[in-house]
Amino acid sequence: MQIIVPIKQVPDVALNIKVKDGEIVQEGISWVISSWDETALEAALQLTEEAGGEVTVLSIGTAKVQEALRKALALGAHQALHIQCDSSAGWDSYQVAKVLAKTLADQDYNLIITGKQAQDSDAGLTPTMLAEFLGLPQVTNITAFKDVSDASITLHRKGDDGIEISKMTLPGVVTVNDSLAEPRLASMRGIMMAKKKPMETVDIHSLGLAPEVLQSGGLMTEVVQYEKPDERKEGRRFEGDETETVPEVMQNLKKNIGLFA
Amino acid sequence: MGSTDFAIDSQDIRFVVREWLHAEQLSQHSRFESFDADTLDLMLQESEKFSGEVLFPTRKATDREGCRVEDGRVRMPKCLTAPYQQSYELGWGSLTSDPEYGGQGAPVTLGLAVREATVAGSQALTSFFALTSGAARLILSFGAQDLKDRYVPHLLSGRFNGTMCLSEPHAGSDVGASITSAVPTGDGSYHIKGTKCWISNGDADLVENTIHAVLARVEGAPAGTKGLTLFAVPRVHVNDNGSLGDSNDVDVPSIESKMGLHGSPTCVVKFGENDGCIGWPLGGEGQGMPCMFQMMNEARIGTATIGLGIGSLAAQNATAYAKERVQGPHITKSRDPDTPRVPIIEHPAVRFNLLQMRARVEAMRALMFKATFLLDEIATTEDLEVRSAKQNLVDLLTPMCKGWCTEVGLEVVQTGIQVLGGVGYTKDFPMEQFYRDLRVAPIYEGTTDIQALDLVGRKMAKNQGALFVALLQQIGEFLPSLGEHPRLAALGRVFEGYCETLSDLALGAQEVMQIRGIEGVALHATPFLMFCSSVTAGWLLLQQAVVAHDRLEALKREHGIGDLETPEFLKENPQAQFYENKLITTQFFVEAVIPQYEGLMAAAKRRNYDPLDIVF
Repeated sequence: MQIIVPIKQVPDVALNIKVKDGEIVQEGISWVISSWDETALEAALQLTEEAGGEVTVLSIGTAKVQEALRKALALGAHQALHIQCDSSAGWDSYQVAKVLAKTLADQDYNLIITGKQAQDSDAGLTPTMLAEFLGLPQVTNITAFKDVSDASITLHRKGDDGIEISKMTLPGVVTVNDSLAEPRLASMRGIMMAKKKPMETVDIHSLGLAPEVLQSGGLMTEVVQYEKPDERKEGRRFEGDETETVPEVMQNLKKNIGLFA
Repeated sequence: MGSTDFAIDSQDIRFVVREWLHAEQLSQHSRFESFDADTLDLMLQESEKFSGEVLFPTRKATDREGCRVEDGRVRMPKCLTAPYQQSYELGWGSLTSDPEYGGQGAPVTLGLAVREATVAGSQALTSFFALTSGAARLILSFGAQDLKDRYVPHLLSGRFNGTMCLSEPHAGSDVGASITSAVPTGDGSYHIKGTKCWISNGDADLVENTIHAVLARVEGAPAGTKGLTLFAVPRVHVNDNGSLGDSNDVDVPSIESKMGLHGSPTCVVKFGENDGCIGWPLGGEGQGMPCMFQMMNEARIGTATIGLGIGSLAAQNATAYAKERVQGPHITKSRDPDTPRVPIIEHPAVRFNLLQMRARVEAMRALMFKATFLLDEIATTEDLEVRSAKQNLVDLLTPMCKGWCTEVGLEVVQTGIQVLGGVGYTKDFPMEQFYRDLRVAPIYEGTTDIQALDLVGRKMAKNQGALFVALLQQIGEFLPSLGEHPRLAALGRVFEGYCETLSDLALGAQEVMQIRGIEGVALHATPFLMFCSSVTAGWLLLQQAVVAHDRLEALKREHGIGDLETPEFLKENPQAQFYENKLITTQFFVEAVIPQYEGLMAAAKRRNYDPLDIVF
């Protein structure tokens, strides 16, 4: 089974991100693989470990995204494809899906697995558009894979009334929920091997996309500016024995929020 | 990051490894060709993730459950089993060991960066990694090929662990008084008989077997350390195919009940109680101490890492707490009863404590990374003269790392408890456990006083003081570069004063010898170690400050920032603020922290010998 996992490199949200003049300050940012994409990669690795085959990771961006691709290779992906561009900052889901679709149009694969959404934009639109552009079936928010073959796969997803089980003919696109698998940790050997695995770089302009797709005219949505969310108000710590602190908490809830009044 | 969470200062570690030392350049040598810049970055990132997600969650449970002896085996806290296995599966346990036998072959500079993270995650498991790697290296350096093949792959896979067995009930720091005996069997092996104590990780049910590195006296050998020979002694014999054979008459009857570090059993180990214990020599007869010093020096750097790792974690936690904890009005508005209460990080005394912690941590990091980077440079340098010069500096820095960093780490944690106030003294916060766990570090692997004697009596005395003179020369060659520096010139002059004091004190030792003999020198050795180490660390921090200044100016140029706009720029740009903080931290260390250690020399300066004269 040949599996494609498109991954997105995003700012590490655990760190303090600064915004200036409506733009994110780049210095001091630590970049990581979007967490749902890590789950997608884990799912792909487990599938190929079970059914055989290879995992190709793919990302669009400047040379910096090679860090994310190398991490994916360290985790076990077999090869990487870097779609090189000057900057993908400000691109919307439509543009990304167009580039991915064009890149994958001539590739052989059975399955495309992505995170259910990106950790930074939280849009969750790219996989669906990608499936549409490629003319492939898609099932979202997968929690488990069963009965894997090169021609079809059984998928579990959480529905309103329980687990929905569907069978999808392949090739197809699935998005995964983070409950599907816990992403593995990289090993020292994996990290050292990553450098020796193939990473192909393709210039985005060589894909033959219509020029307007890569320009602002190709945007379906535009982020006008970034703003830092309001700081969370300081919490209050109640210290001491619970016989003292519980009544104190109750009193505060009554007085300040009107609870139990 | 909260006040009880795992945290390491990854920004400073990356600065030290990549921007100050340029450790990625080691990959130009075939030995470390796999460790290029990208690989180093990824390893730093992933070891931090592993330590935070896998190791750190065990810290509290390890402390609460502890180890116990049951049915002749040491039972470890259950929470450590899976993380121990995962550490070796992922390769973090045998990071710098020989790849031919299953290690990862990483530079020790990277090893230190990873160990700083793992020790913050689990001091207990890190002690297993360090001692086992050290024992494996001893066997590789001094053992016969059969021993290497029989034991080392299993040590580096984590299947076995290793120990170093020096102390005996009547021979602690005085190793030469050891009475454990070794009698030749005639086939190259020896019957070993004796009791060793204070043996870290002398047994553990995390592993199938333990390989002890044991100092023993071959019958007829002279008294003292010169009569000691080193032996590899397995708890259970290992068959040719790697399976376990018969018991080797090695017993752990008890473990110590300690104030902390409850996940690393401190064992009494009895060898040959039933005359059935066999050991194999590592190195020649009478070469035990020189051989063991290889492992002891590694262990001393490893122990110093505890001061750095736990100290750094404490500093991060205390800073997070000071940002969270609201208490009292700002001091400028203290007379206004209606003024809002502020986080305690706004109180000057708390800020002073936090910077004391931070400056000490960055100084420890500078000293330790310098020492390990020198080791990597030695390993990748063919020039014998250069190797010798670098080895001399390592020899000088090793007791400083062990003695100073373990003491300073403890000072940092103690200050951290003070920042937290009452809750720092409770088990609701991890700070008290940091203190208890770390408290052993200035004691084991040679107490601080032993390190001071090693520095003053052995390393500084070597070649008529040539090592120490070489250090002062290196510092002296660096200082002129600060002469016209726009930010550091004045600080350089302050620092020069400490160097002069240090030099005067060292020269004064000869006079002290004449007046009070070796006792007089030994009396002030520990304060000297503390002061000398702080000056050495200050030199290294000043080097870092030069780099930080250059980087900051480059960033400002890149963004077109003038001096007037700098304060605003620093607020908005975390990387620029990091460089500015490095400059401030260095200044504080030089102006406010080094003098604290210089103050310890007051008695020496006054030629005070009261402790020798008083009758107790």
